[in-house]
Amino acid sequence: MTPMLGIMASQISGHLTPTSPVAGYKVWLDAADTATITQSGGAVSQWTDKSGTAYTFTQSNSSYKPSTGVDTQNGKNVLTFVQNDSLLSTAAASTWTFLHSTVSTVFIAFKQTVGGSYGYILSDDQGSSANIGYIILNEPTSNLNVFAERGSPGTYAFVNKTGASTLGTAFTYITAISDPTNATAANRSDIRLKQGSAIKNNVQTSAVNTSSPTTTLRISDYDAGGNEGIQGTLGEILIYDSILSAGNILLNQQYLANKWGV
Amino acid sequence: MWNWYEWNSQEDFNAWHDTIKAKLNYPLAGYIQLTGELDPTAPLTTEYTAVKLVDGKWIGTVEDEQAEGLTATDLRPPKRKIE
Repeated sequence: MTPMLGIMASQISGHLTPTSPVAGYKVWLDAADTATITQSGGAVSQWTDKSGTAYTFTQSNSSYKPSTGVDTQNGKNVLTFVQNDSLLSTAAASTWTFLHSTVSTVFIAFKQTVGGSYGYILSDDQGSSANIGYIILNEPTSNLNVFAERGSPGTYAFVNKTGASTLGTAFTYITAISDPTNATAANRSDIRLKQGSAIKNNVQTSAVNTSSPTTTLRISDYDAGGNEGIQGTLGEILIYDSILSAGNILLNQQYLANKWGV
Repeated sequence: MWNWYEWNSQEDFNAWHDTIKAKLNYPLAGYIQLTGELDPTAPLTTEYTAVKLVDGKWIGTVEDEQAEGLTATDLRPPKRKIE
């Protein structure tokens, strides 16, 4: 009983750092857990999520494979991407409809080492507003961007851009909260860099498209051979099909900060 | 290190690609990083690389050690402006 009481006391006093993410995630991809990575010669062919569903993200073309066992962050394994690299969900595209049409909370721990170029991190619409889907990317002038695209060029359910030079090139983590049907434009998308304040720059008010995204969910490059994936490392992705409470967002941020040493 | 190379036609690329895949014993199995055990659930790696048509050339990335006889190129897929 003593250890349990000790943990409870630490939790009450706020000194216990979470060692796992808040429950309820739809996807938990963890590069530090090398039991979830399938590779050949350090080239990744599959990354398996740790939720009960065990979604798999795969790559069957050697020239598009990220590397594993090359880089570490805080002593933990990370996946290394160059711009052509990507991993694709094997689940149907419809699995990811919630990302652009209902609510979500996404956490990503990563490093974009090369500035001045586009770096798609997550997407399922081939990077075009003529398509339907969700994008998180880093780009040269407006830095971190989150889009909900509705298949209508030039209009969005939301587009939230953090502004120039906010992300940097060090390993970091972000939180992206989406509520694309919110009546208040600014509340449709909320980006947080580490444990910083909410960045809510969306002014778009168009209705969401509730159809499936154009493609299934991709990690890094927006399309095969698009050459615009992230250049850097990726440690962890958490996706919830809900908006977490402020307390649970902070718990996940503390978990990522402690685990990845940032 | 993967770098960019070019072919004059899709047929030229296909012939080279078939040869390199045979040389490297494709398709390749995958192994669990932690244990080194074969992962029978993971997809096989069936392709070595792929090409895109840019300015009349078929370009793709190749590991330097596999690129003997190929022509390096400065061509790249066109940049997209996010919409």
